[in-house]
Amino acid sequence: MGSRVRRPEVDVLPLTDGDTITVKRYLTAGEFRALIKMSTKPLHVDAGRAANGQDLSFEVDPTESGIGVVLAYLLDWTFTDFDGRPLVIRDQPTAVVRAALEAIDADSYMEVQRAIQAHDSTMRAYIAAEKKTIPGATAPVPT
Amino acid sequence: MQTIRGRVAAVKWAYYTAAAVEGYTVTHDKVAGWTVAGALVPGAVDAFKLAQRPLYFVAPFKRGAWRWEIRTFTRGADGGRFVASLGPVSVEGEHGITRPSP
Repeated sequence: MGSRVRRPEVDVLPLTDGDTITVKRYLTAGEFRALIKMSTKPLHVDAGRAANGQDLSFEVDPTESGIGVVLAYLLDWTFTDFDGRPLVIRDQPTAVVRAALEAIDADSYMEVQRAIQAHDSTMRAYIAAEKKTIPGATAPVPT
Repeated sequence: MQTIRGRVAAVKWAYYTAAAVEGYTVTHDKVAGWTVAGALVPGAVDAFKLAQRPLYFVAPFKRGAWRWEIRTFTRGADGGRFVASLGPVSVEGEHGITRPSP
């Protein structure tokens, strides 16, 4: 049996203009739950409806799910302000990181979001493949 | 003997905050090396992360942070105070830390 806990590791993802972002390689269960919580609207379960087999699916907020996945993974970046000083987000509270994400231009934000969503997809595929991998077989290399 | 006193610091495991620190004193002695004594913030201690290794003591200053690897970490009987022996100090530039968000 393997460990169910992963060491916290980081990946550096390249962006345009030589910039990079540093992201978590994996999310923990707690980080995943926080991401789901941020991305969905509250669901009030009616026991009667549940018993009758009625639909109780989550309502996803597309604007929050985008920034939710960014906040879940993003650790640091090389972005600077107009004077070339680093826009510090490393080790900052979520509110500070969110404020910085909302202060950069929309194209830059979308570039960050696309890079992190691609990283998330890659890591989900990697984890899924890892579970199916026969011991001793070569696993795919994460980005 | 050198002494650094501060209010906000953190015990880090990789990029995670294992524990928030409120009030600390770091001392350097030629014989004992670097040591720190301080208080952990109740409710801001992650027992799992604090049990992992290596841990680092990170103390921010205006445009950076001092970082030490923790060699030994001992919590007081009440769990709030701690003392730790530290490895050599390194300095991080431009990346301070603040109290982690709840």
